Amino acid sequence: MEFLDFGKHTPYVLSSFSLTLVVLVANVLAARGKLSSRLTTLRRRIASEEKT
Amino acid sequence: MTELPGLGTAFWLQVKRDLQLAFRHVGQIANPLMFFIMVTTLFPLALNPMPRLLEAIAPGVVWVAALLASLLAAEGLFRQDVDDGTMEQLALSPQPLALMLLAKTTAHWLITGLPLVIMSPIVGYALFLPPEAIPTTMTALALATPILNLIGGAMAALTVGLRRGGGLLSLLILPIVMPVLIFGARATDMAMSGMDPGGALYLLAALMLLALSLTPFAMAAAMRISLD
Amino acid sequence: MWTWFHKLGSPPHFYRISARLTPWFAWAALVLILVGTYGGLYLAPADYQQLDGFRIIYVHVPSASLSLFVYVNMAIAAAVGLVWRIKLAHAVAAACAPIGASFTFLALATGSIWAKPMWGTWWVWDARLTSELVLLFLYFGYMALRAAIDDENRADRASALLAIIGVVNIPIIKYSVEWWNTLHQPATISKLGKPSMDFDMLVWLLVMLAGFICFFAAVLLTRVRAEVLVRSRGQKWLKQAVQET
Repeated sequence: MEFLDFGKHTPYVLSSFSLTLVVLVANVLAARGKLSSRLTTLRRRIASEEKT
Repeated sequence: MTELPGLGTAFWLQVKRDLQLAFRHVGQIANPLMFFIMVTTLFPLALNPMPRLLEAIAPGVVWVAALLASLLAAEGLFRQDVDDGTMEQLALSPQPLALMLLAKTTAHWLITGLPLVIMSPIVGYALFLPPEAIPTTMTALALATPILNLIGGAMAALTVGLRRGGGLLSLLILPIVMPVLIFGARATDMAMSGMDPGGALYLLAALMLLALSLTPFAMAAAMRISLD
Repeated sequence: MWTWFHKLGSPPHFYRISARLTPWFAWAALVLILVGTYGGLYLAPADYQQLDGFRIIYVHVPSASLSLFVYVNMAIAAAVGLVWRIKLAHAVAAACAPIGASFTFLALATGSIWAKPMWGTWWVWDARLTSELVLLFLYFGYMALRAAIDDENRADRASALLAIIGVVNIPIIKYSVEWWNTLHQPATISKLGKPSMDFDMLVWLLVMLAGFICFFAAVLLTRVRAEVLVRSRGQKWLKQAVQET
């Protein structure tokens, strides 16, 4: 794990980069989740409207 | 057709009306002022009432208390008039809404802001604020309280009539008025240390003029959005 | 960036185009961020004073810059929506807020993590961190106002006005906090900002910045599409568009 060694600042560097990764991924998941849930709701509504 | 009153007349009539209405419930006028005094009392109670300690935190306490008192006052600025339909009439009237709202805010300042300025020497004395800092503090508060009322008014106009308001008004106002807090507390601080507070006071004056010129329009726009 | 949605004011048109644009931004973001991270962590030379700790700059500065960039974007979209009454612009403003708030949070967190090895405490009332904190409050206020108003039209316009008031105040807040900070700064603290950087340190910062901007574009487009779906209730183009995806 040499490439993860940053001297005495290792925990700080690693934690800030991993936190960044978490926030970026969370953004992606939140956005895509919102879009897909709304699409699903819409599809369901269209399907039920077509039945009537 | 009768002639419309001029802008100046309309302004003063509105101020007079609001003052008259406010004085019918004199007790309510005192609320922000009482709040101001009570908040400043909290600090000696919560901390060690040692003169040196209190003197050190006095500028901060006075200014935070003034800020919070103006927050409290902002809640009630437009609510009554919106509830009973007067605000809609005001919006429909041929007088510029921005001017009318400025008049209301002026009356509001006379009732809730000016008393803070007048009370500040007494509160300052209780917190062991040195006498040489008092005139500066009063001047700074005289400049700052209008800003607080104006910005409070703009945010109140945005949130008027919202049921789920709650702490929303405070959340909206506080970030915007932080510069006022910074410059005001700094002015008091500088006067305490014997330095010339001119820089901070000029900055406060600049903010006051900026607020005075821009916020009435923001208030009017916000009010129209809220009334629709 | 904000001129093209002026032209794309029609929701169905926007919906289809953004669906096609998003993957480009997403891949560009991925590549740029990976390259920037590798460069920042391994290729940039260590700082003379701060050793490897300074590498946090490669996530802190892009987050902070984006937090401001997104707010300005939000305010411009809000202004466009308010002045020209373009509904899509309001949708863009609404979509910007949570993204910008997350960047602000990240800037504060990474700034805090950076502060610990540099100055020994997790939080410092440094001018820039304090300004970031106030920016976070501005974002929260915007989102809280939107959430408190039920009527979509009123929510759009009220929050638009709030965003404009906020953006006008950002320079004032930044100036006042810096002014306050220079008076209270202990002698040992040096600015948490960028030291004058050599190019081999700077280039990775620019790469990361570009990556973050592409990332923002991709996430924004996705969120705006989600907004458009909800706002276009009952419109005819919806059925076909939904079945196409």
